[in-house]
Amino acid sequence: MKFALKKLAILLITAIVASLFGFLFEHLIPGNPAIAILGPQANPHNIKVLTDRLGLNKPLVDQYFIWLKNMFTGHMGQAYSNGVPVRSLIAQNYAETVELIIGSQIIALIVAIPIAFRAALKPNKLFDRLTTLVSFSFYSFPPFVVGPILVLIFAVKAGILPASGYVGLSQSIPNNLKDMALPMLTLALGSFALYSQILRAELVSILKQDFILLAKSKGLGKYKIILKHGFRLSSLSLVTISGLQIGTLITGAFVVEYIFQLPGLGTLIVDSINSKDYLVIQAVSVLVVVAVALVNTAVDISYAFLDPRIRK
Amino acid sequence: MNLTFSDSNTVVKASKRQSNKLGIFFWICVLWIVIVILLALFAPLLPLNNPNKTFVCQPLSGPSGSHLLGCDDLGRDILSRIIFGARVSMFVGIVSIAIGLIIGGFFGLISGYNNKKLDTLLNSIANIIISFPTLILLLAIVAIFNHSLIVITLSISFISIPLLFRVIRSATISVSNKDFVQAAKIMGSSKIRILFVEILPNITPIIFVYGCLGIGSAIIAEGTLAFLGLSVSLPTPSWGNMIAEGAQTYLKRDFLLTLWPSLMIIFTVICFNFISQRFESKFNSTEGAI
Repeated sequence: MKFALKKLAILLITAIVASLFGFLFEHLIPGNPAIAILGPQANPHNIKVLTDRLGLNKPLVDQYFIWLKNMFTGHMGQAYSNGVPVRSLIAQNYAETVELIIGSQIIALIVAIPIAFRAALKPNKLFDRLTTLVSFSFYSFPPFVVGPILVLIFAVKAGILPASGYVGLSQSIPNNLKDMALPMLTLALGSFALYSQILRAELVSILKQDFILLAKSKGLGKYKIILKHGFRLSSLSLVTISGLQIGTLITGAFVVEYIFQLPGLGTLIVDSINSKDYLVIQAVSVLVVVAVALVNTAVDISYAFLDPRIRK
Repeated sequence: MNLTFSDSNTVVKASKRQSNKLGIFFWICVLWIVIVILLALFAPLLPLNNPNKTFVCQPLSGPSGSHLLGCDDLGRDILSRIIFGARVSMFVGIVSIAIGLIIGGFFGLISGYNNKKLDTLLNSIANIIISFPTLILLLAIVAIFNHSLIVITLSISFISIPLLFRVIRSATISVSNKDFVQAAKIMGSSKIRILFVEILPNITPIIFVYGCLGIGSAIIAEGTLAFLGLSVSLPTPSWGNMIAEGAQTYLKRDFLLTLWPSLMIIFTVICFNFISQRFESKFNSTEGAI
């Protein structure tokens, strides 16, 4: 319980820092924030309206609380480039990013688990060394290098998957999955490398322990041992690692969206940086930072419940 | 895209097979990096076409005797763009991590050695910065300021500071518990002397290991920004924007445009990671022997 409270306190501090960071964002932009936010629509009338709404004439502390209230109530302002409320832009775009991340994690786990099992059964043999080498290379490949290579192989040369285009999940599930296959695969490679290596190392060390020897001497088959005794323990660290990776994953998804021209939060933020739509950049950044902090805290706390040793 | 040393290090650790030899691949990697750095440094002196000059050759013509890697869509020499692109990647990678090591290392040393209150404070600040996703911080900084080479380099070094701080802090803590440091303390050496004469030389291998890993990550970070069109502005070549230019329009017609810069980034980053990993193994095994 004390552990959970400590983690929640850290979450709270991170959220406060994230909000300060988000709030100060518009003040760090050189010049008058109202003019910067309004962009080309900065005429005296608009500037006055926005100054009143954000309380830009009031002291900084008051402005912060007005900003915080606006964030919590979803009044994040409008994107000047198209006049759409920032809240709706985020609502329209977050689902694709979430789908991309979940899909990539499913692919990564489906491939990583059997490979790690096989490698851990005969450590340092050919298969193990080969998969370690492959994982090590995959881990060094950033998505913006992997993406074009996969497009080249699967879309241009083999022609089995589309290189771009997007059909919403609600419109047609099979077409959506077909369009999302390459983006998901691109994002999955890094996670696959990490998961297979972590799981392999965990399994190798668990398989050396006494209770595995006992299971062996009882006459259990090796696959049964690994599934019943090895996997349950090693899956714990897998859960932690996948949780702690969430920040890398979200930003990885942003890059992948950009490569494949998919709608999503990543495309939204890059477009907004190019058009200097500060309110959108601010809202997406704060959202991601808070989401990452939430997931990390949830993982920390749930892990402590699963493994009592951590709580100390 | 990640500048998360911890993650990458888990992979390194998980796949680590300790050995005392650096091995042939280590030296190949060192050679590769020395070549890339020399090419980048002396690029203007080399007999190369101007990387930004268009129509020095037939657009999208493949590799030939006079243009070893062929030409891009605007008839620019790809080899020359690759070599000039190396200047951006290497500058950002090495300079940002050097700054990160100096600032992060300095605070790591004083924080790790006998300074409880300061340690708690600095460590909390570092943890909070680390909990922010790297790319989001980079995007925010680029959105506020601009995407010039200096801003990119400084923002990547800003992100590397807390990561390198943590590594050097924990190394300092473990070294400062060793007997020879205790002996120096008893002999009445000053704090500064202990930090810089006793502790610093003993954590140099760790600085080197994480420095190399960091340069690889910094190159990827710059490459990601360049790919998103948020690093040095065109037509200045960088590996990231060359990949983007090639991949977005010409992947079908001429994939070599994308392939060359991709290979450069892959080889260079793998080499930095591999050097770091081999060095760590060697360092650990010799440490164990003492």
